[in-house]
Amino acid sequence: MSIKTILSHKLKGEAIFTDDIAPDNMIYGYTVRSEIPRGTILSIKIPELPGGYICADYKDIPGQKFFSTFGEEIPYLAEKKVHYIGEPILLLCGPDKQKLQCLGEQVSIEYKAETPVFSPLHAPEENIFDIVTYSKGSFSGLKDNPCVSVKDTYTTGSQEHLSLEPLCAVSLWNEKSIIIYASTLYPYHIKDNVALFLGVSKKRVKVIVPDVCAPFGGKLFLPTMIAAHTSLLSYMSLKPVKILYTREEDITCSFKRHPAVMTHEIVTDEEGNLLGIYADIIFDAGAYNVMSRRIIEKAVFSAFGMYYCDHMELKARLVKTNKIPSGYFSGSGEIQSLFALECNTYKIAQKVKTDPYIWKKKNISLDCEKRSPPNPGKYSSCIAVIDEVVRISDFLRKYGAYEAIKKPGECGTVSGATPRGIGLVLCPHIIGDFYETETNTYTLTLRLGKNRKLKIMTSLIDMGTSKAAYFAMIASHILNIHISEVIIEKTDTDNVPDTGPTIGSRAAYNIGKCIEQACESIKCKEKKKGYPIEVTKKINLPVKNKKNAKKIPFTPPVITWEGTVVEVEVDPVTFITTCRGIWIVLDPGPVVNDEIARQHVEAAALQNFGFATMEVLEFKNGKVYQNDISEYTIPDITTVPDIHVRFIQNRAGIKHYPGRGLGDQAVTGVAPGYISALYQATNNSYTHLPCTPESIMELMQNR
Amino acid sequence: MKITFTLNGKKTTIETSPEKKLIDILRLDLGLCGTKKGCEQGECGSCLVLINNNLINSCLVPAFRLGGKDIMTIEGFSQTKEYSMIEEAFLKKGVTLCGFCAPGVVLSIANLLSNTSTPSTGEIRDALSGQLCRCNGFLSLIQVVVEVFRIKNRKKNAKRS
Amino acid sequence: MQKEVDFRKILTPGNVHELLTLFSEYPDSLLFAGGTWIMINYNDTPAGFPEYIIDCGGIEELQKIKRTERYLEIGALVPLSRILGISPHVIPPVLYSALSMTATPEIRRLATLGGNININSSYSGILTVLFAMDCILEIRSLQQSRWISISELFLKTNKKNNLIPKDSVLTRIRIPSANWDFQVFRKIARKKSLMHCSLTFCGLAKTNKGILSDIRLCFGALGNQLFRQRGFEIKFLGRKLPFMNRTIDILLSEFGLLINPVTDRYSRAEYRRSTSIRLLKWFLEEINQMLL
Ligand SMILES: Cc1cc2nc3c(=O)[nH]c(=O)nc-3n(C[C@H](O)[C@H](O)[C@H](O)COP(=O)(O)OP(=O)(O)OC[C@H]3O[C@@H](n4cnc5c(N)ncnc54)[C@H](O)[C@@H]3O)c2cc1C
Ligand code: FES
Ligand code: FES
Repeated sequence: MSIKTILSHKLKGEAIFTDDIAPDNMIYGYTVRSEIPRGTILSIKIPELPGGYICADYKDIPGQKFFSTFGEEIPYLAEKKVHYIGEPILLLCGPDKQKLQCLGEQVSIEYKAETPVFSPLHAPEENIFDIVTYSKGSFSGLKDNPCVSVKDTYTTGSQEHLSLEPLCAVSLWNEKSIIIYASTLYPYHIKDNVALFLGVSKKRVKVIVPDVCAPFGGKLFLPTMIAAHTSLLSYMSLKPVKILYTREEDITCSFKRHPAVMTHEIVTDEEGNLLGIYADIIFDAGAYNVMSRRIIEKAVFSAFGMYYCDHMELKARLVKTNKIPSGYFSGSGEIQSLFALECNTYKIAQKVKTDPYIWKKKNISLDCEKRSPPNPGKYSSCIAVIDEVVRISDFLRKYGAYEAIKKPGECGTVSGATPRGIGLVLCPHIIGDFYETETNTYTLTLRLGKNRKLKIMTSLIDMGTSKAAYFAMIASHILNIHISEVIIEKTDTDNVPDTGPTIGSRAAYNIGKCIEQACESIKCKEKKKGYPIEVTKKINLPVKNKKNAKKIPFTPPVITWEGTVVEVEVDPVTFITTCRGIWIVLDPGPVVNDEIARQHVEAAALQNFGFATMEVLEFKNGKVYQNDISEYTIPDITTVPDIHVRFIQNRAGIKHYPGRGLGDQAVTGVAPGYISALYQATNNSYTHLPCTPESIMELMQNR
Repeated sequence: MKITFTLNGKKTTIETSPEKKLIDILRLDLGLCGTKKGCEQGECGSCLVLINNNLINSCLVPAFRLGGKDIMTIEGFSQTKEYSMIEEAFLKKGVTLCGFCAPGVVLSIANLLSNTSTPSTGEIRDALSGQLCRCNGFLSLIQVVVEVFRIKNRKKNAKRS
Repeated sequence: MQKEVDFRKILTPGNVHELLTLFSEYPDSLLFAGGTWIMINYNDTPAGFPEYIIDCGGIEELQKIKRTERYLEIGALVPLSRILGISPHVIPPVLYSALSMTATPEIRRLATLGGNININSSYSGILTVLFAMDCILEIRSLQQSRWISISELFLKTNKKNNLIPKDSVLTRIRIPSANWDFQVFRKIARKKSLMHCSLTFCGLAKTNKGILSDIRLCFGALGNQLFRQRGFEIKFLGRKLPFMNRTIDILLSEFGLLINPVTDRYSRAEYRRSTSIRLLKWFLEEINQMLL
């Protein structure tokens, strides 16, 4: 289908999602889960099952009992030990959903409970999944001389992806092979793992991905577990089986953003010249280690941002707790540590009485040699980015005005003027992601037919037509064909090669780059050969020096800059905040389609805004407390602030497309920008995300 | 119980339990999957349909309330002239959507279209406030609505002259 | 376990008398008004709906809105959207804002005023306003029909139960006309369409020759029940305006002793406490300001 047809399809409601698939004779699956956060299963009592209903536990798995997550292996069904509330233990299936739920609730499990660990701060040594340390110069020695420092401990909460389409999978086993429909971002992960799980050859597992709603990388690994569950039930019942998570199940049992506790300190001389940075970062991984290294790497990189100085010290840990596992979430690792860094830079600027703009410009390290090569500064226009965002938001004038009216102690009283503030953030983003895995494992195929129609075959998932549009634009640019002549093949593992996981800007950058290369090859061949021309390309690391990818602090080969300004007003009576505007300037290199790129940035910014203001997700004794959409609140159209997005398109080092990012790139500046603005408005340092009126009140009253 | 209603312009009779939700009747019994199910709590708006030209969450309406009603789902609405205006605006603006909330969004715009002539941004926000979306930042949807009304007014003027 | 669905009967009274007759005949039946609350709470859980459902949708008598000199009368089955649709001069501004901050436009089209009142949710902004305005409710059963003030009903019901006694039906709601010189409604929630909020507040005040002649202060979402105490309001009456700062402080600290807010998934007790005090202060200061 061409891009226009895809959009029209979606608008007409013709897009087929996994739950829309209902083969004849289909029955439903139900998951019985652990009710305790940590312990050993002693016995399981299953009610008598009527005809047509069956149950399955770990013993029924014919093959491998664990699946991989780029971190640790996770059991499909708990064997003896359970590690979090909601961990799957038993599966039931049958024709009637209500009856199934009724039976499920009658299953009684006896446990021997063990003392759970809920806080990463109080976890024993053995709970540390991963740890990284780095030091340069002597940070502790800095304070022997006169200096200014800001130190704070920041915390960020858990965050739910909340894709509107709940998790769902349908499996059809037909004695020899299995067809799986799943709402996933990584079809080959299902294919490979389910083959091992059932003990059949990979050839006999076919995964089809219908339309998917999976914002912010939410459906990366968990769908594999659900697909395996439906496959096992289908294998045993010889019927098609569907598991559709209820909204509550989706919120309470899906992987979340890693909560973090970060102690961050910045030291400058009395003029505000940066001397040293210290960061201690602790991530709450939940019960299993999913993608740990990548999270830590990004956090470590972002803890220093673009301020690279002579004295730096860092420690980052990923700790196991008995809560739902944390998984991939767009901006993983970066969002947390940039929040700590950028709030601190704002504060130190205020402390040394310069405005944050001057402070940042003064201390950005553009000296490439300071960083381990290849340097991030090379193609950067980070000065241009910060200048532009300051200009379009009128930052300097507003900042000055709000400083001038600030009378310490007055705000928070009823008669005081409405407090206002404006925050400025500059942050780098790691682009492409996923470096050490891009070692010729993944491929994609392009085929140019006689009629000069181009078919792109990739297992990458396109959620919002944007990737399709993006790839099509690259191809049409290089091969000089009309966009409507570019067709994206449906995601079916029988027809498309393994292109790897659909995460973050990897899709746009790494894959876009590969499409560019494939198109160049086709162009060459077109002169000599007849049609059709088919080219399969391996996705390759853009890192010149692969060893560097493992180095700490990890320096990515490609980064993009984000400059963000957030303006906030606080109601002195209720402490409810109003965001008066968000301005974002990015340098992603050449932008293929301004409109699509802008929409992506808006959506990412809104998610970051939600994380900063209202997406409260707490745990009570290891259980998710806000467990439906009315309790876990995401921004809606009435709460979205004005977001102004601009691109600076610096083409240095780029041949055609893709630029340095976009795709599902995260926006991370809104949260620190918002908190900085609040800092200016109220003279209080807020250290927790999300920052609700409740938290603002607490600080205002404790003054 | 037996219930007869008009569905997308066609008389339809079904046999169902009286408290079954309209959304399940549409999706499971009649195979009309354009209406999506995001929460079953009236919170997300993915299940919106038009009943007697009023926008309603189909997860909140039981079968016994349907007798004699005129129900329009996205499948029916996408055949109308109004729909083509909305699609035109979406294509013009190049909005990216995963498609899950799209039917609800389209019907919300349709509802606004039949009730207002030139809505303010505030009215647009209010009209779409029942629809959650997690993939799009909403701002482009506001622009689409503005565009829809521009198209509508242009068509109206063209007719007049 | 599960009841067989085919046994379920839908009863469709065409007028109030039929409704009351059916209701007395099947006392365990479920009254179905807009159904927005019912469809979520009865869901398709195994327990499911009761055997008899009385569908009130066809009773036109209860879908009328009437206005006299003395009051505005709204039928229990009038959907919230229709009340918002009537002329803004007719409906008190505080009720208008409470309604427009209730749920989404689609839900308001289904949800009825009677249903909202009966749920007796302390989060309800509408209820906060109706309580402040001393509205009266017509409650009917086959045996009797009476008008009863909403505050009397609050006193009688258990916090968690529905407001309307189990054997009766709410038929009409009367909102007394009164010329309030000051009226405000505030709802503090993460999004305005959310039922669950941190606080709702309705403040009404009347002055006469520089003297405060009447005041109503009602808070929602503080706890399981709405907060309004006539005994506290009386302390304001007859006071000369503007209020002196000292008076305000004394009254506020008294107010602080009267409330007992709770912590839940949406907000914290401490926030509710201090924000309700600040809102009250703000309201009193607004009155002072307006007089200047
Ligand atoms: C998504 C969503 C958001 C919401 N947001 C808000 C909000 O912001 N603020 C707010 O206040 N509310 C909110 N609500 C609640 C909503 O206002 C109520 O569900 C609605 O008002 C109930 O009215 P109904 O006609 O649908 O009642 P029904 O669901 O039909 O009935 C509710 C109960 O009252 C009984 N009942 C109904 N009418 C009568 C009568 N006349 N006499 C005796 N008993 C009766 C019924 O038997 C039933 O027990 C929200 C609801 C939803 C689904
Ligand atoms: S499914 Fe009906 S509103 Fe979400
Ligand atoms: S586009 Fe995915 S939910 Fe709206």
